[in-house]
Amino acid sequence: MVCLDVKNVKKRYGKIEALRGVSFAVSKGEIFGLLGPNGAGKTTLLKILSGITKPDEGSINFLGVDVVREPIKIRERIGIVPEVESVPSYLTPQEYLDLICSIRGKKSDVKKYLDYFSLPNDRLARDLSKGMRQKLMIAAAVIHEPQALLLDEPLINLDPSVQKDVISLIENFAEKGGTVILATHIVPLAQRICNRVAIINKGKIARVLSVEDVDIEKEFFRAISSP
Amino acid sequence: MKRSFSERFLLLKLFLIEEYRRHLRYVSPISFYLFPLYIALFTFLAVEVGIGNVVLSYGAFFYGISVGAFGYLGIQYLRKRLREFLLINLPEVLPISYKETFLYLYIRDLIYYSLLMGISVVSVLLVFSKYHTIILILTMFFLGYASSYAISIAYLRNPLLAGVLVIPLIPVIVPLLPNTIFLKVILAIAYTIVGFFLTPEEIKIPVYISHIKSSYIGDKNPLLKKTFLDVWRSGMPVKLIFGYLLPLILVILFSDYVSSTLVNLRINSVGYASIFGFLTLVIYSWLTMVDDHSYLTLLPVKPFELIKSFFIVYLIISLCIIVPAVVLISFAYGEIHYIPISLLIGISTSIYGFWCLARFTGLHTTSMLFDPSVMMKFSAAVIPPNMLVIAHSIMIEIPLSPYVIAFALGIMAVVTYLNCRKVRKTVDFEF
Repeated sequence: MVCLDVKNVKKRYGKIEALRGVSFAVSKGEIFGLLGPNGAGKTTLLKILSGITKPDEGSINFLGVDVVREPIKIRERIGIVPEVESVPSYLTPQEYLDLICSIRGKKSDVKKYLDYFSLPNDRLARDLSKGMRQKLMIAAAVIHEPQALLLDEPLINLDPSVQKDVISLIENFAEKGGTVILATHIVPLAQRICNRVAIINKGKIARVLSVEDVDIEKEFFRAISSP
Repeated sequence: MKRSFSERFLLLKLFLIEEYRRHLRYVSPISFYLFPLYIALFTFLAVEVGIGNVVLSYGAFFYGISVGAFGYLGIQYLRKRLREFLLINLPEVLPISYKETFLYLYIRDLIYYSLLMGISVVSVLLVFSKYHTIILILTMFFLGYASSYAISIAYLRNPLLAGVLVIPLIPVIVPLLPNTIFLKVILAIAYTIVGFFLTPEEIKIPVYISHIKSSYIGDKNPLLKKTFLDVWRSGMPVKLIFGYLLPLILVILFSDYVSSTLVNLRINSVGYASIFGFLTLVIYSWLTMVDDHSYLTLLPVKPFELIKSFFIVYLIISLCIIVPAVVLISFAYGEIHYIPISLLIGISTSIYGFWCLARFTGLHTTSMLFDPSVMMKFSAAVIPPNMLVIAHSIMIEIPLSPYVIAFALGIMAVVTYLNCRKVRKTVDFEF
């Protein structure tokens, strides 16, 4: 069952063509990787999928929502971990997660998430380490039990043991029927957890591959070196 | 570490280039180059109306104050930095002290901002052969800039020290002492030296502060509660005293001086109420800067929800300032009977300004006001009704004035409703 259908999405920033007609579809319960070098257009695409940025052309149907027309509605149904840090400076982790639940109108066991991610409850977010803030962002993305997750380099700044926890969290989420769109430039990560991978380069999808069938690393370098 | 002259020159050049490029990031190149034209037009009008000396020199002084506050803002930036790496951050990775970095910043802003405004102002004044005014304006800018830097740096060491440093400024600004350019230059140089010596070699970026007890956010108005927590935890109450109340007292002293000596027109308590209402606008700008709101783009929430919570906090803070200030000044002037109308005017102008700022600058007030097209729209919306209200507040005893004020307040109410509606419809946080 298709839960994300992207058709001919284009985005331009001044003279730079960030996305040049991107199309793909993702099924429910799938972990779909967007793999590409720095500046390939992964973050722009994720921003468009989550309704943060409007495309110049194209359509996106995500979980039955027309994202271009209803950007707020799609954010009710998904969880997002952006590439850049976005945690309020003057709230403690518990206060931030309470705020998220309140804005989303969902009751959730905040303490469970604080414990799972070993987040302290007696410091302001601005005084946390980078890794802690990253964990807080991941907790904020999953606390309302979304139908889909958009993750932009989610393992950045995390130590190996937390990376392992986050990977198992993503896999469990997909096993329960959640859909994951994962943007990364780390090939082994994509090879390990994704079902399929779209190799994106210079704003275009070069190839969509099933991870089981091929050596992603070889395909990745072949795709980005072709003109 | 010793640096050669060419190395120092290169560093200064890079600081200037960085500021120019940062500036261009906020506004389009056309808008950037239109800004001096806008200033030139304002200068021309001020000179034509015959108030050039007073308006331009005090304008330059307050402009200098706003530019020189980087002593405070720069260090706040260093402490809060999450995303950008600017040249101010060089001491984190290279053998250069903060004292030296801030010296480059000081020279950079002195050059950059005096050129940005100065060229157009000086050109117009040259046409009118107002040579004395040119020297006066440059001196006032230098004084405002140097004093603001020294006071803001002192504030970070000890707020009381900052208060002490304000004192020498008062007799020069009001002015109680002989109003000479020489005295102002000496004072500006003294402030520069004090500022340089007070700038720390090392700035400790705190990793962990004292432990804090989590507050209950709850289900109702979470953004409002968050805004209150931000205001309290970011130390805005102290900032209000030094960044708002002290300048407010200076403004009262200054306008009292100007109105009684230069233009021979006494500002009454009603006039002050409208000025107080207008000045509370700075609080909106602070609210937009207190925290990074980008996390809200990840949530199903519109900017209006955040701006609504800003409005409630803004209104509470404004009332806490306007009501006692109006009551005090009404008592001082023996105009107790004007208290109700003064409060109405003060609060109305404050609310009107808030929604104009929200409509035209969104959540990026400080940077958006450097965009001349935004600045022009904002000025066109705010200055005429406020001028009408202020002028007729001062002349309230003329029978027509209450009707004119009522008319202006009526217009403001309608425009406020329209602005509020426009903001409510906005979806994009970058609007």
